[in-house]
Amino acid sequence: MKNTSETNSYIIGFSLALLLTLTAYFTVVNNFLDGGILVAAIMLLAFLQLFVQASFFLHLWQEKNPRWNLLVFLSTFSIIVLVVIGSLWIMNNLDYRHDNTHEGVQKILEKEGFSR
Amino acid sequence: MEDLFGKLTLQALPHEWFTIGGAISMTAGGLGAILLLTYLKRWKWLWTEWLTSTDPKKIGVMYITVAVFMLFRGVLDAVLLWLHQVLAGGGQGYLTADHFQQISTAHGVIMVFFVAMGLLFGLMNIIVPLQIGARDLAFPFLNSLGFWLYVAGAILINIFFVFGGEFAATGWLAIAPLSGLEFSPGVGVDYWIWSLQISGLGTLIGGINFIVTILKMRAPGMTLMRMPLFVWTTLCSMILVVSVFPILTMTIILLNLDRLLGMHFFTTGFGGNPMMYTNLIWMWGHPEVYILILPAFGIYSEIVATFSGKRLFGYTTAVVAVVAVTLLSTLVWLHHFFTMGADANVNAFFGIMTMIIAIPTGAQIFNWIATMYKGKIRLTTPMLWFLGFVATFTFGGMAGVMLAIPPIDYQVHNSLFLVAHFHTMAIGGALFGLFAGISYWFPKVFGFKLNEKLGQYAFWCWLVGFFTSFVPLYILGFMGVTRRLDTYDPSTGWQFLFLISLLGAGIIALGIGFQLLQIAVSILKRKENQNTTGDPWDGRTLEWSTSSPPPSYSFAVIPTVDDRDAFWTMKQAGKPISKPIFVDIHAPKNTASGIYISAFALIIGFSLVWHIFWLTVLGFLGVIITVIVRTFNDDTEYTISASEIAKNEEKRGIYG
Amino acid sequence: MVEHKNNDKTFLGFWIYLMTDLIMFAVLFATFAVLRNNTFTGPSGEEIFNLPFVLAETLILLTSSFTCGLAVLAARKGDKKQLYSWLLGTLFLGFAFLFMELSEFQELIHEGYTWTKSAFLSSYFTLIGTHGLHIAVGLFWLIILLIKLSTSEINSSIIRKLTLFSLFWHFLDIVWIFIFSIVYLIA
Repeated sequence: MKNTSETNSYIIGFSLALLLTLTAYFTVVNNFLDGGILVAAIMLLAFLQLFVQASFFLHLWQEKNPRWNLLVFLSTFSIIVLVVIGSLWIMNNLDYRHDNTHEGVQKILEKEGFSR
Repeated sequence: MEDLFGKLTLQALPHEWFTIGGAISMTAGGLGAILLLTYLKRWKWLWTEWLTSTDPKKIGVMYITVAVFMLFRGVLDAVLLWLHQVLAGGGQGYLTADHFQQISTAHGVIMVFFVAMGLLFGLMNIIVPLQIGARDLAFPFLNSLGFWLYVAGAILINIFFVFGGEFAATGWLAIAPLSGLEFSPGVGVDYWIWSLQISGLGTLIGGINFIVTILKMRAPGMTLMRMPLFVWTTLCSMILVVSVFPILTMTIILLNLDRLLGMHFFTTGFGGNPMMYTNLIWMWGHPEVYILILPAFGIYSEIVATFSGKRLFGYTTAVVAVVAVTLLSTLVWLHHFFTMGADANVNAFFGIMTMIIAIPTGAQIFNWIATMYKGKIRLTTPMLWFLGFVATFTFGGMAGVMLAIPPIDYQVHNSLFLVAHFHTMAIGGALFGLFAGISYWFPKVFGFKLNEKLGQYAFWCWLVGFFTSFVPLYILGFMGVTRRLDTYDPSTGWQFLFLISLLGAGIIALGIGFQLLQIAVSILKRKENQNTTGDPWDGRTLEWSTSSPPPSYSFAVIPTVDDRDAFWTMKQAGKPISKPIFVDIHAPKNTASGIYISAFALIIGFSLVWHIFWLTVLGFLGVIITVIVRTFNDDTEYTISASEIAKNEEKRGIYG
Repeated sequence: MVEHKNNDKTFLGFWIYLMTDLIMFAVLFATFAVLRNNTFTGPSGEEIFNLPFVLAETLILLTSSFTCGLAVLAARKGDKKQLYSWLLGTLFLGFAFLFMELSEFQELIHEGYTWTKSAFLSSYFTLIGTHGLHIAVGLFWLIILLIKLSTSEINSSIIRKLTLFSLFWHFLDIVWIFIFSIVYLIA
């Protein structure tokens, strides 16, 4: 009984993961979206897939109290967000400020409200 | 022949006075130790009782022993630097610029990675299992492996004295692009990379081990909110370890790929971005500071409660504060590079986050002061270290808040003001805490107290010496002296302040002398300070409920906890302890696998430094084979019989 | 009882190890994201990626993750024959994936786009290579497990080791999903 339901869980997870992968793939190949929206959509699909695999393959939510595994996972997740988003924020900011081409300097001067 | 040894040629062997000196003293020391052990016929004893042991109490003592040796090296480096800076005012000093930079790098690397971390892991190994009423860590073999990887790292960072090469001259964090192949073509940075990589792996393993131990192996009844504060701070510190040490590992791997395979992560050309290195390394580097300081907070909390004869004031606040500091410490890394040029929004965010940390930290200080209020204070050595810490740490913390303000940071960035600030935190915060912990728990480990009088002399020397040597550095920082400065003009008038600073170093050295004397005298007169009760300080937590030194199984019967300060409550209840029914205990067997794996890791590191790739392959094969053999070995436990335990426990004579 | 408790510890410890590995990958992702446009004079991602090929890789790895899960279920049922077939399937798919990753590398190197060309290529090779290295370690582990399995019955120790392996393998699949999305699709 328990075993068949677990098998089902794997089958559902596998189908959902397939679906999400193919959706992401065809969105890109057929140029359904572009620019920032495309990036956002793909990231959304990736996180959905993370959720699907964590639920159906890793059974992350079924743990009994105290849910250390879940807690560890969530704190890792926040560290990862911090590492990636933090780095991007800081490095893009630095890139922008270190742009010493003529147009770059003009852009910075304008944006920061300096005038010559 | 050339290919066989990669970059390691005869020219690379030691040929300067300091490396030759190092080589001779290290070889002589090693030979001396070997001869002594052979003479005393202690090899087998050393191997079976200590080196292959999986007992956390013994591993802890070994950690501390190695760390103390590294402390001597670090202090020696510091004195060489100080002396040079004084002499440089009237001339050239006695070190070349390059050598000066190497020594200052060595000082930083060794003090942080091999002294502070070693002492910390030592104390945690000894005390955490005892405080939570566990007999061992969750993974005894991994604990031994972690220790030996730390040793391998420590050997690799010193081995250039014997095999040649040099130390990195890049500062303790090997900031790119200076640490890239273009600007540091020598092997110094490679030594740095591999010794940190190997010891960092050990730290990571240790981190996982302690988290699982604390979460899963507490004695029945010890809920999270009944854990002693040292356990809480260890838990938080180890959470930081597993969160940020992977960042360090990966960053160093990337730097190594730049150097070894010609990649372009942090190079100045081909689209590489050296600023990314600074960003990543501080993402690890800042939390690392808290990895060191948080357990020290825990030690102080234990000590102040014990020696005030009171329960810690505001336990819940203290726990919340520790957790808050843990979370905040991951959000402030940019304050190490305010001056790299991010805009005001970014700098302001990280500046504010940094200042917020002062709030939970301050809350803790108030907790400790309130604990002392109306307490019966006993001014023992551990308590003195604690009081010295409160003064020093508050002082340094103020400087820290100043540095958190970006405009001020722009003025004093990379100056001696900064150097003075972080030494105040590292010495006055972490190191005093570790010393306090060592003098507090020494009788638990060895069964006799350390000599009080000499301990107090040592403390006063350290405290006075510390302020004498570092207050001038604050002033020099304001005067514009940059860090790692190897030469300056006499007309600046800095020499006098450097001289006072050196004087302070002398006083600290006197303090270290007293500490050594204290240990020697205490061992010689151990009969006088012997403690057989296992509870020499009238302690409050579970580690004092077992005998000193504790038996290999730590607790004959796992205690049941029904309140905070579990042992104190038991003592207050005053029930005569009825003789329990002893049962067999399964304990992990000794294992040498950790030693073998670390030895192979050392070979891998060394061969990669010198590009001796055939040796690298052999090293990897060695590791893999040892690991496989280990996993196929299911016979890793032995049994201590109930009668043996009963016989042992009868001797304590505590059962009514 | 004791056994159960030890299992508990091992799982939590292994889980935390996986999380640290995940953070290492996060550093690689962050580095890749920062250096993505630093192509210098080398090619950009768009020019060198072969999306259908990568989709095939993705599906193969996903399927192997699925078969690996089924293998653990078979082990719990004590069905050795099923267990063997699922594990061998996983092994086969894993090798196929690794082979495809390597052939992709080989093609790039053949065209002269090595990791020394630009920061973008450095971070690309390192991210994919690190994942590939993990796959290789996983396959090695799986082979050892198969050897062990051939010498003993299905017992609790084998099930425990299989479960740990399956955690590792699922985890690699999850990392790959992000590689697929961030490295390939967004380019």
